[in-house]
Parts: sequence; C-alpha cells; structure tokens
Amino acid sequence: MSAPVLWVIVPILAAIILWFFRKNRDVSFLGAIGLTGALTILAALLPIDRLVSFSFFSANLSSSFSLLGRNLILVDAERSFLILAYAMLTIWLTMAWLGRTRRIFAPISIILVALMIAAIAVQPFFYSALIIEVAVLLSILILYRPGQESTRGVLRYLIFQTLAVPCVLMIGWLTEVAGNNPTDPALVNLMILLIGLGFAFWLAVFPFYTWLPMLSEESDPIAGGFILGMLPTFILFLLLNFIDGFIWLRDPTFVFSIYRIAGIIMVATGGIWAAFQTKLSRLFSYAVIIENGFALIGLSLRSQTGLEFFTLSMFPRMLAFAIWAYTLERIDHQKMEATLEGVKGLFRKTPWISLGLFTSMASLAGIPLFAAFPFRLILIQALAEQGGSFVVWIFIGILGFLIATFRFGAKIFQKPEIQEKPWEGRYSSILMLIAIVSLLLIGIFPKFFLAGTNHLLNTFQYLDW
Amino acid sequence: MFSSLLAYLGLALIMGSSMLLLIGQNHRIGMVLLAVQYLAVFLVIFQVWPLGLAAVKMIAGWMGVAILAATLLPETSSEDLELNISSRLFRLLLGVLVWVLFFTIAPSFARWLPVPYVFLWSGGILLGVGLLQLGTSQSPLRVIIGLLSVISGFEIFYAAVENSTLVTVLLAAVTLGLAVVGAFILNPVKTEEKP
Repeated sequence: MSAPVLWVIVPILAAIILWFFRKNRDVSFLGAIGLTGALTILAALLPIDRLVSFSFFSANLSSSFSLLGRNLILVDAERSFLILAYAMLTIWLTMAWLGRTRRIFAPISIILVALMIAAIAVQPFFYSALIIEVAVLLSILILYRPGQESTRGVLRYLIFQTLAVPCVLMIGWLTEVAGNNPTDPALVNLMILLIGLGFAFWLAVFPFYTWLPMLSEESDPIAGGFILGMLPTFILFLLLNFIDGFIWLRDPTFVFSIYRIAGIIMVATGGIWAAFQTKLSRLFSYAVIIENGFALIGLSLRSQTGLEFFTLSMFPRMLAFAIWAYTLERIDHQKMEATLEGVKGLFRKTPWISLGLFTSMASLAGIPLFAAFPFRLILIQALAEQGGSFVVWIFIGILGFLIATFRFGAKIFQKPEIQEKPWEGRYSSILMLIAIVSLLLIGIFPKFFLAGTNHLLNTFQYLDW
Repeated sequence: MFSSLLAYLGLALIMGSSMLLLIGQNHRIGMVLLAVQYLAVFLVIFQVWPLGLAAVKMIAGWMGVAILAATLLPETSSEDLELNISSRLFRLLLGVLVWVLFFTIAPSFARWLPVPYVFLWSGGILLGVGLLQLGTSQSPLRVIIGLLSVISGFEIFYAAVENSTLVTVLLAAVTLGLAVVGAFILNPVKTEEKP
C-alpha cells in the first residue's frame, strides 16, 4: 500500500460509504470520528518508505501513487502535517456531533480534508488548483443551508476561489515553457503576478476578503468555521510548497516584501474592523483575516524564526477557531443571538461555553498565557529587528482585536437582567474544559506540546534561510 | 481553411451569445445562449484538439446547461434577471469595451501565448464578459453563468497550450460541479434539517 492511498483514497471511499449511513446521525458521526482518529494514529505510527515490523505483521508504505498519469507523493516529513490535519478533523467532527450540525457534514468534511491533502501531494503542483476547486465546490454543500435567503457570501466565496484556478494553471504552463529558472525578467514578473493573484484569491488576502464576514454570518457556525479555519492552513502549506519548488519565487526579495505588506494590511484592517463588530460570527471572520495576515508576515521574514512561527502556530490557531465555532453553534442552537447584546450574562447560563468562547477569543487576540501569545511575541520581535515601523500597524491590529475581545468579555460576564435556567450539557462542559486546558497548556509550554509540528519544516528542501 | 472558418464562426457566436447573456432577461433564452456558447468553444478548440477531446468540453458544458435548465422550472420567474433599460445599455457598453480591449491587446498577449489570434480573441472576450457578469450582478444564476463563462474562456486559452487528458477531465468536472452548485443554490431541496 502507498501513503496517498491510505490518507487520500481510503478516506474518500470511506466517506462515500458513510454517506449511505447519514440517516443515522450517531453512526455517521461516530464512524467518521473513528475513521479520522485511526488515520491520525496511523500517521503517527507508520513511517513512509521504511519497513515497519510489529509482532504480527510488517508493512512498507511507499510514498508515491500514480493516478491518471500523475503522481500523488507524500513523504515521511509530511506525516506531521497528516497528523495535524486528521487530528483537527477529528476535533471538528466531535464538535459537529455534539453540536448537532447537519449530518452531511461528516462525509463531506472527510472528503474535503482528503482532497486538500491530495492537492498538497499532487505532482506537478499546478493540478492542485483543480483539486482545490473540486473541494470548494463540495464545500458549498455544507456551507449553504437549504432555503437560506442570503447567498451573497457563498457566491462571493465561490467566485474568488474559482478565479484562482486559471491563475495557478497558467503558471503551470509558463513554467513548462520557461523552465524552473526563467531568465526573462518580464516573464518572471508575469509568473509572480499570476501566482500572487491565485493565492490572494484563495487566502482572501486584502482586498479580496470581503466575502469572509458575509460567509461567516450566513453559514452554519461549525461548517463555516471548519472551512474558514482549515482551508487557509492547507493553502498556506501549499504556498510554502510552491516557494520551496521554484527558485523564481524563492529568490526575489520584493516578493517577500509584498507578503509582508499584504500581511500587515490584513492584521491592521482586520483588527480595526474587529473593534467595531457587534456580531460574534463576523468577528470570527476578522480573526481569520488577522491570523492569515500573521502567517503571511511570518513567511515574509524569510528566516527560520518566521517558518517556525508558521508551523508552530498552526495547531493553536485551528483549535481556537474550532472552540469558537462550537460555542457559536451552541448559542445558535439555543435560539439566542450571538451579538454583543445577545451574549449579555451568558456566563450565568452556560459557564463552560462562555469560558470556551472567551478563551478562544483571548488566545487569538494573543493575550499572555494563552496559546497564540508565545509565537506572536517571537514574530513581533523578529519583525522589529528587520524593520521597526511596521510593528506599529501590527499593534494597532492587535489592539483592535483586544478591544473586541474585552467588549464581548465584559458582556459575557455581566450579570443578566433576568435570571434564566442554565442550559449547558455535560458533554459540552467536558469538551470545553479539555479545550480550555489545552489552549492554556500550549500557551505555557509551547515547545513541549508542539515540538512535533516543527518536523513539518523538513518537508521543504530549499527553505534553509 | 475550413477549420479556420469554423474557428471564426465560433468567435462570432461567442461574441453574440456572451453579449446577449450579459444583457438578457429571460432565463430560458439564457440557457439556450449558454449552450450556443459551449458549441462556439468547441468550434474554436476543434482547431487544435482532436475531435473527441474537444467534444468533451461541449458535452460537459451542455450537461451543465441541462442541469441548470432542469432547476429552472417553467413557473420559475426571471425576476432576478430583470434589468432596466439604463442598466442594459451600461452592460452593452461595457461588453463592447471588452471586445475592443481584447482585439487591441491580443498582439501583446501573443508575446506570452504564441497561439492564433482567434484563440486570444475568443478566450479573452469570454473571460472578460464573464468577469463583467460577476462584477455587475448578485443574482445566483448570473453569477453561475459568469463563472462558467470565465472557465470556458480560460479553457480556450489553455487548450491552445495544453492537451492533457487529466486536465480536460478535471475542467469538465469543474464545469459540471459549478452547474450542480448553481442548481443547489437556485432550487435547494430541503432534504435534511438540523435534528
């Protein structure tokens, strides 16, 4: 067997089988959780391209799999990413199960993650554009709630993600024409422009991020959170693959200046808009914009510190998004409004959900002791060493998000005007407790808990800045 | 010579159908125009691709049109496609501007894409008018037509430089997928609600 079969083909086939069990919610979700949990454990235990022997059997997973004349390749260094992807999917599925998300979420989310892994594994890279587009089209099935009136966010999401496809595919052809090391500066600039546009559409880089708040507001909290939280992480990883693969994208310093400027604009504008938000769903999307901005800034540093920030912050970021989305779903389920006024006194009604919500917001705001803080600190220090004036804009962005966090925090912990009966379930409380403790532990002992994610950097041969 | 004539016929059909789609107000006529657009794409691509492979694009496109058309029931109103006269005139002018733009800049494009001009004109016009559809409307049907046009325009460019079977299959899947998503959004069936 090969690694792409195990982590791409098997999950897709299993998801198709799970589709037929979707009438039974528990079977569908528990089957999906069991499958993704098993895939996570297998990714942790089974090395790729190396014989592994247990007492009763031995196996050798090859790294390559041929499909319609193209290769899917997953190397051993990418196992950390597989663990991260399937572990996060298991967490999302658990939250969706407990959160009573639509049953279709279980099979579709598995296929989406498998397709995104296929997009990272496919050689040549350019085919990833078409695989991602197929994933985007599938994601509409979970993002769009049948009968919902507003479709603006979903349509804009579809437009921007689809517009990325021609840009990235054209790069494939231009690379074939010019080779991996083109000498014509005009051609190089055209290639950089096309790839920049492609990734800007995918990652919702400024000014293409208008669909994020709309989509977040319209869609189911867990489905929307899953797409907004997971998709950029895969795309950013793909971007690193591209940078690693092409010298014309790796060498020009102005490309990294563009990443930096785009990242800083995203952090600053995202933070400023966040400060004025009165809806938690929209605030969530601004948190996504800020996080994507930070990831781009990390990349722009062109240093080992920047890359470490990039990989180490992946898990805490996705975990915080998952917790936030789950709490939004719980609030939505109780027919409460997830607005500044709507969450007034929430802590008295549902202490663990409230704590989970505040912890995820505090973590994404970069408050000390929470998961994102250590990495933010390292990033800002490194950025200040390279060019101090930019840091001011980062602080403005962080300040904006902090204001939003404390505004909502103050309302959540306020005494309600009418005392209502608490409505928190036992499983929700346990889940929130585990999630909150995880975010705190990662914040206090970051290197201990996230040492594994740093292995991701071994995937990239030429990123030895 | 004959195939070249067919390509120019394709270009004329693309210009006409895309413009009428941009200013049109009736969804049933719109579906016919979209089908004509895919026929035109086939006529252009047929110049450089084998008949079978070129036909894949047309058949996938027609299947997409059939999926969308099946969603638009006879009683479905064309209300969301309705435009006032000034809006239609504005779109017409923008469409003409796209024609002029692509006829003018085709020689510059040819530097990067060494393909016959008819490919640059057809692909560019389809792509440009598709972008206009996307930029000037929020109607789900217009957005899906716009996206299908953008992808078709790109396919014309791309056909001239790449004839991989896998890419053809995946692009056909994207065309069908867009049509299915369009059908899903235009006429959602309430099959599953939150328990």
